[in-house]
Amino acid sequence: MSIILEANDVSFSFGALNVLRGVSVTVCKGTVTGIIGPNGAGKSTLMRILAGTLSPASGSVILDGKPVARMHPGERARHIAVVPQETHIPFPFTALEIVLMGRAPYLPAFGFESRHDVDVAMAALNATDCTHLAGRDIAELSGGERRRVIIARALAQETSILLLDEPMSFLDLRHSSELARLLREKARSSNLASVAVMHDLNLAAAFCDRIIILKDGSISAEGTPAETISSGVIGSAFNVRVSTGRDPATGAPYCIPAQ
Amino acid sequence: MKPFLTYRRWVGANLLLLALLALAAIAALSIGSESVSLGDVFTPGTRAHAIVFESRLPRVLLAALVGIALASSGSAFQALLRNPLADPFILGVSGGAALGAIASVGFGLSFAGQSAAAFAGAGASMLMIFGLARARGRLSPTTLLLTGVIFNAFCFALILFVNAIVTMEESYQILFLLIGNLEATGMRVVLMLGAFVVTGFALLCACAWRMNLMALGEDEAISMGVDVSRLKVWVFAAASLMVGAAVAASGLIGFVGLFVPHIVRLVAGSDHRLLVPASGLAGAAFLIMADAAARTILMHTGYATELPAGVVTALVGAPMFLLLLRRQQTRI
Repeated sequence: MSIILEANDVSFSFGALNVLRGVSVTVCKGTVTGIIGPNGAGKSTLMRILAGTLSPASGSVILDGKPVARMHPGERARHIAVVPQETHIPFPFTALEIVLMGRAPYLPAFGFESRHDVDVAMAALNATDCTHLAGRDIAELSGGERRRVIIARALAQETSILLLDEPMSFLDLRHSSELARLLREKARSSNLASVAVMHDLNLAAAFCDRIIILKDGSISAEGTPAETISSGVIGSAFNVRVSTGRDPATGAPYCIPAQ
Repeated sequence: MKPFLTYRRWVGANLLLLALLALAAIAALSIGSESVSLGDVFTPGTRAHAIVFESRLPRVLLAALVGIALASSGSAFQALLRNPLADPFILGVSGGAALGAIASVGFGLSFAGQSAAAFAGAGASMLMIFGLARARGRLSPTTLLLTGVIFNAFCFALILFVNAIVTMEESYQILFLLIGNLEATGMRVVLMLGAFVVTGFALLCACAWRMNLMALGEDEAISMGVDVSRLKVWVFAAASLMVGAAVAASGLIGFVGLFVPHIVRLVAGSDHRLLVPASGLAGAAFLIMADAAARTILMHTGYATELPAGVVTALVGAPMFLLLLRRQQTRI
């Protein structure tokens, strides 16, 4: 499997607080990587650094052999799409207008979206089960619906890398497992590499190829779900007692808080 | 389903607004304290010709240019600050510009000098607002409004200070700038303002598609390919240029930048590629009509005076602002 995105020994601090301490991550084409860890572990900061919207204090992020820091934002936007943790949209855009914004990196200057762009946007809305929301005002949607529209916007950007910060928050059980399945499906069909910060360990265990556990600004463990979703690793990362088992149908590990 | 913006809709909407603007201009040229006949208007040397071309036309052109400047920069501020309550007047940008213009009255500068000083004043206040916005990530509506109120109060104190030390004649000129008045200052001023406004407006329209992406958030705009710091510099320069020149020419005319974009958004949608130019054109049409109303509203009442245009825009704009504020509070 070939590497598409890698962070080498990146560190970052907000004032005196060291948020990330020498973190290295490699992401391969056509894989789903889950980043898990307790609150305040530096997950979102790592995502912003991977996305190139935040420059690390030291270390570098390399996209397909090129440092992202030196890429033009327009070029980077054709390679990396981002789903942020929270989105506040102050104006009454329709859902379709929001998704069409994902086509911006491909529009000519002063141009308007072509038929093709609209088709891509509609397909993205369809992929996240939002076709029926296309004409609705984004501010009137529920938290989960808005999330799915924002994810559709990132898909419409047609990039080879998708970075999602807690994409499953606000999503119900069906939509969060459908999203995880969609990421898997895109990994296989179009070689998409996705990296998602997740809080649902069982969902991560069932759908990720690799799991990275971040704690206090550094990686405390990483590997396949079988290697990382164990009572020892999870217990020490989150400081809780968990019991683990295996899904009899797929063999995927799961864990639940112990009594 | 609500339609999204296409090239055809963009052209259609702008043509419609241009027609509306032309209608407003014709209406404003034909009404006034003296009625003119169409035949006389186009006969050089008649009184009607002089009234329409020398008195009313510069005034209509001035109103149009100031309307474009205030309304289009209002829509741009709203996009960049991600806040539908932003407006050059409310943010204190107009106040900064007025301070610049008024200080230069004290020094006896010409319109060009006043514009430059107003531009500097607008720029300084904008730097402060965007500086605060940067430090705090996202400015809350309350912080934004308070900053504007405080900055305006500060500017007014300095303006009154200048007012206290100048001659009576200069003091009258200062009052004129404070009230917001479109009384024609002659074709030369109109032409110079025209050059500033056309440049600034073209720049804002060119930045408009990037403003859409800013609506999703600053990081998101960057991740979708926008060089946000460069965008800010351009919008910043274009808006300072327009607001500065508009304030130097007409003084403080409030609220146009607030409610014109809001109404355009209701009718034409939120896409800034249309919103920015359409706000400019609608702002021009609105200010022409507001000024025509201000000129004629007291005509048959026995008061031998005209209202300043700033009075009309504030009477319409202030209640509108309160409505918007209430709506925003219920939504957030």
